[in-house]
Amino acid sequence: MADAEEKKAAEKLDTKVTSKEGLPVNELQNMKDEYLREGLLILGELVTKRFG
Amino acid sequence: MSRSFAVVGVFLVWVGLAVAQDSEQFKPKPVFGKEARVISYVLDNNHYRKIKLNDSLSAAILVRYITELDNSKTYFLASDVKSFDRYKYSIDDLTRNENVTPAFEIYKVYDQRYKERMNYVLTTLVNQNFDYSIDEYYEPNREKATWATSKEELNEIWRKIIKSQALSLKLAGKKPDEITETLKTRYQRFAKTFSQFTSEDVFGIYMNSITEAYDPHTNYMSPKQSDLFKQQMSLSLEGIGAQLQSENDYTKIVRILPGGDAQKSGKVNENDLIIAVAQGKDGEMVDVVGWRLDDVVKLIKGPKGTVVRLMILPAKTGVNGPAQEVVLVRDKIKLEDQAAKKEVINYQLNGRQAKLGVISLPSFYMDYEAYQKGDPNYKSTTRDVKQLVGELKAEGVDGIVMDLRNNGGGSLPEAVDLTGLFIKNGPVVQVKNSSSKIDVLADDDKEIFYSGPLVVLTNRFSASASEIFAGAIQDYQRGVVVGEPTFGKGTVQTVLDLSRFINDDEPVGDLKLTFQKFYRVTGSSTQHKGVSPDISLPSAFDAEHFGESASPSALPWDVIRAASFQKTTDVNERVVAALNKSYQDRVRYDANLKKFISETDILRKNINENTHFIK
Repeated sequence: MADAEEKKAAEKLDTKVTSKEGLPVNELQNMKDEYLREGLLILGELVTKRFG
Repeated sequence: MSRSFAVVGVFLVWVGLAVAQDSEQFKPKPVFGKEARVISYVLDNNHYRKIKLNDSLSAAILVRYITELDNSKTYFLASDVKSFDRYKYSIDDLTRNENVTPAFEIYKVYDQRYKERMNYVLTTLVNQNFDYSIDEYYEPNREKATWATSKEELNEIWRKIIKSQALSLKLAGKKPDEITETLKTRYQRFAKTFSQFTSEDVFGIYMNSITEAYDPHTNYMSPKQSDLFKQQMSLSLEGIGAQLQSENDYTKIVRILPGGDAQKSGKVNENDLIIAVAQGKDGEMVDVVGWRLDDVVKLIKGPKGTVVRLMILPAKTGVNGPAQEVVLVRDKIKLEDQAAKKEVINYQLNGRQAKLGVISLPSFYMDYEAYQKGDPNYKSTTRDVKQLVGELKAEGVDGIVMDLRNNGGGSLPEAVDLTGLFIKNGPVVQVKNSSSKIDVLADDDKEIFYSGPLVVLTNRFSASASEIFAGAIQDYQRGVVVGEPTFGKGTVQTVLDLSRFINDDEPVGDLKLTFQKFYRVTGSSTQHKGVSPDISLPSAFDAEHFGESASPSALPWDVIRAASFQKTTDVNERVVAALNKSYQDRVRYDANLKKFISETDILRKNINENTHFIK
């Protein structure tokens, strides 16, 4: 159950996607500034909530 | 809205004052008394609090001044503090009579005690071989400790302080002789800095003990501090365009700012040491080795178009190399480091490449002097952010984060105008003066410059104008506030030039005075409570120790009637709940976030820990 939830959460957050060439394209993953990273992830969610 | 010079919360770093002279006697100048009398009159009649400088406040000011000098209770003896009681109920009357004697009489004792302590550290403690097998500890926060009753007791306190510092160096891998040398250099530097204190410094500390008894944001600013304050607000200065730093006895160039003559000349480099300064083409070189940094800066700064000559030791040849003379012309320098900046982050969103914009805003700056002179291009937060948002829109960003972390505030009109870029029109903030008159400051422009998704990022050190902006965006449901609860400073200051009231040959300072309190459009004050984020991120800083609530003289929280305003439909409760749910999911499953929460917990515990084991 926990695994399923984790997978769902990861899919929803879309944080493990790579480019067509197989290289990471998500700059957020490597961001050292945790606060900004969280702010951007929440903004990403907000974009989908309003317009997605 | 009117463009009064209202200032909401710019934090200044205290940098000290005048030329250093070891032999200088600390004594009040006549102008100090005049400034003290005018300040006490203005505080009694114009401060928001409407309280009078009386015996009760006098007693509080005395405690505050003693604490300002010796916050850790490691210099004064209990007998010293008891002797200061002779001023307990007289500071009010003395101040009104232009008498600032208590400042200097108390400081003379402090000066003596400080030198005693430095002497003990440098002659005895730094050479000791400490026994780290003894089970003992030291509590750095001595706020609740009692004053030491003897020099022997102070010696013991200082033994633990130095042992604690020696242990830190030992744990960092230093050898015994390196530990001794490091501590010796450290305390020689402290002693030297202390020896450069002047009567102006003493007066400044004393006057701020008086002003801050009314509230923590009412401050006396010496002439030099006033210049610095105006520089910070306008993000410009007139100089050569070099950032300086004091290093041992030298003034070192640590950074060349773009646009200044230091850069244009090509003759000055980072890490060069300035050893002398001369004015104009023929002025005599003044040796500045051993000077305080702010005094060197005062010599180098000057009106645009004037010449200053520097004698420098170039970094490439070092302190033993031949000195070179450099002729520079002062210019107006923009401090762009402090201005708003933008960034675009690429993000994979629902299978497509998305772009998220970030605007970092370190303060709500505004060049008030240029504005007053009618310069249509005066430096303005709103103008800069509008341009950046326009560029982000052109780049096709899907949303914007407005990063207000560590933004201590600034210009109130800029906070209102900036909010106006994101809302249609309507009230942004309400201000109440000491006569309980309430003004509503509104955005009258019906245009919404940016209507897309918006997140406002805050932390404990987002204060004042930041809280106005974040509060309005939240109240209008225009965006989502993410981060820590903000500082909780809900007061407005104005700056009074004391030379308007004092006719004296000596320069006089300014008074930054709390004269209004501001309220969100909902009617709630931000005092103490700040703005609570819609989504709270981990915080290491609690309200008891950080923010407005940590100041005993802070004005209280209260509420007035709400202003009439129309919420948007951009971010409703359902959206916030869904975002919170996603965040909580991430708390459980995101390894990076879990690690961050764990590290923040450790940091919080360390910050609140007051016991240092020194074994």
